Amino acid sequence: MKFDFSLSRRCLIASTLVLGAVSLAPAISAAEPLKVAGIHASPVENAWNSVMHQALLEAAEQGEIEYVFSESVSGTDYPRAMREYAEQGVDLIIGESYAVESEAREVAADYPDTPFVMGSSGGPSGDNFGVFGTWNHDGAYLAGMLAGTLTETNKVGSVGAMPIPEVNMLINAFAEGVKATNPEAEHSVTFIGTFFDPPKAREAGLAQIDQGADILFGERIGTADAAKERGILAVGSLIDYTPRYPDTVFANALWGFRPILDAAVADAAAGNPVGKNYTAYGMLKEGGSDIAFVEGVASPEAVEAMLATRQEIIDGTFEVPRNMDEPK
Amino acid sequence: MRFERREHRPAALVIATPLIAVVAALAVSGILIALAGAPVFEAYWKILVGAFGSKLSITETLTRATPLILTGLAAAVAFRAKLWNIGAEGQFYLGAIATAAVGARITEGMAPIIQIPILLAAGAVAGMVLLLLPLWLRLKFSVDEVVTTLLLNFVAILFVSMLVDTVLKDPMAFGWPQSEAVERAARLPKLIDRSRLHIGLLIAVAIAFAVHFVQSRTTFGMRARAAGLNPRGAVFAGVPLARTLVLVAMLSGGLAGLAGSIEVLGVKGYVTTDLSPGYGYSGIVVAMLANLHPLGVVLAALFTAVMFVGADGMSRSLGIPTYIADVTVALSLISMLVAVFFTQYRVRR
Repeated sequence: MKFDFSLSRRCLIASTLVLGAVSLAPAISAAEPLKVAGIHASPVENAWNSVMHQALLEAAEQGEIEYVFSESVSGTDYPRAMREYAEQGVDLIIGESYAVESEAREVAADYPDTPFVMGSSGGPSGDNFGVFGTWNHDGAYLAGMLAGTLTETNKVGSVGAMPIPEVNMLINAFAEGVKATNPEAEHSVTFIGTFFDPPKAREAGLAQIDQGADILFGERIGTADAAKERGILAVGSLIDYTPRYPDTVFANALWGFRPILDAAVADAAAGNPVGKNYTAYGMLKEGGSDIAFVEGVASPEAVEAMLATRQEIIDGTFEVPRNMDEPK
Repeated sequence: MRFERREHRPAALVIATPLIAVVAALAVSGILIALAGAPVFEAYWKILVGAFGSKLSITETLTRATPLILTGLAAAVAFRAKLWNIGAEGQFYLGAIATAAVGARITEGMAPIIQIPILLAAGAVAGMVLLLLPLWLRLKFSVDEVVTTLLLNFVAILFVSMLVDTVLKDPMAFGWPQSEAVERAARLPKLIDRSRLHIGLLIAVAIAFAVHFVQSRTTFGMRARAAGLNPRGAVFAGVPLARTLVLVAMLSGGLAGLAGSIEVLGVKGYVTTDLSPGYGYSGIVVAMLANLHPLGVVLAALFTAVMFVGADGMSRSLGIPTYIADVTVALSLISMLVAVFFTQYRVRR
């Protein structure tokens, strides 16, 4: 009896230890969040970068990651910034390789143990270089549907950064959405040749208005200034511009980075290769992007039709066309 | 109060003033670093680490110094002859795009030993042409070249911007406005593997020595200096002023164009409109820091590169805004310029 007792006591101690170790393990990993570096080619105030920056800050506040960043990193310095963070031993590098597609992949090949997840027009490379696109075109299509019903001159204009595939796709989606509710409407587009130059976007917007456009799609920040100045309506992209332009921006094609970030962080934390395409996490169907619109601007019927299409996109019965050709 | 040129420059002063300048610049930027909530002395240490602390940082500093040596020389040789070439930035871009265009369209497939010199020459010639135009305006119509060379920078960059968006646009670049690339075989060999450091550094340093030789040991060098010190006196002494200035312009513009060419062949392989983070303008500062001396240019370029790469790395390792690094660089350049000034002049009441 005595023997049995001591055995069971030993068992008890052993199992307590095991249990303790198991319950302690997640506590240790939670205490040391993944160190994530963000390398922004533009200031973090730039709409696209701000979406990523906010998502990263939010994740850092929730204690899921530790976040360090560099902003306004020029193409010449970008590869060095990547190498420096890699040498510092950060656990995941988030950034944008549009201007340095080949160099960024070279850097990743030189640091095979550092996961990189980059906004890119190209594909993933190796095990440690993943990519994501900015596919908020679902929201742009839906905003276009509203814009089509609202234009009086039957002319809408878009102001975009550069004719790179995903910007093209976004503007084409907006134009398609306009066409869906107003086949008569004409659509014109101006590219400003840079990603962050609000005064230039404003100028381009004013030129569109002078040519008769009465709704502007501001793929770039600054476009809404032109619309506000001339008292017409505008559609925002990536972030919600309505609080800043309450009477001007009636709809926004929002993009969310958090789902992409969470997926990348999960992969990096688990040690899975990140060399894949994370784009889909940023789409409406996956909860990444969406439309935000002001009630009462478009007619209730137009809103109803738009929301029905939105539901079809979520259900997978409708897919917004992905046309990456340069819009004319 | 007036400034008087020093007859003698005490050695202690020449050594001490740059040190005081760096300390002053670091002290002022230290205030900003402290405001950003980072430990100031650790930040200074991190600047050194960022510039010299690893193989990566050393190679990056030297890679950064390479174009600065060449644009610094471009400014130095021109300023010595009082040819105010503010257009090295435009000449840099025109040299870069000429190299990319010739490389992608004409010389592709040639043996590197032939192709690389042709591409370097193409860049240099493009830079020359861009400076000869304002010089011609000056000689013919007395148009101030400070204005024309400065404004031609914008013309050149917009021209490059047009080319990379149209005829020279790389169809493989996913719509990004960048030029077609020079083939890999025609790039400058790397000095160190897994880094961006290329033999352009050696070329630049060798050219600095060559320029020093030309300026101090040849008739052309003497004439160029005479043209700068006193143009009318030079003419009176039999210096062919126009011809000398044309040669100076070819040298200056050629060096700036070569800087662009080497940056393309050594680092990038192709041209974008953000190829140069102001190398042409920084070259002017480098030349002033070096007191227009060709060998001093090498040291001044190195100093500028150290400050930039070091401060940039510091901002990343401490997580303070990148802009503080820019301010640190600017402060160190300004205070260094003031220091160089005081080694040459004294204040008299």
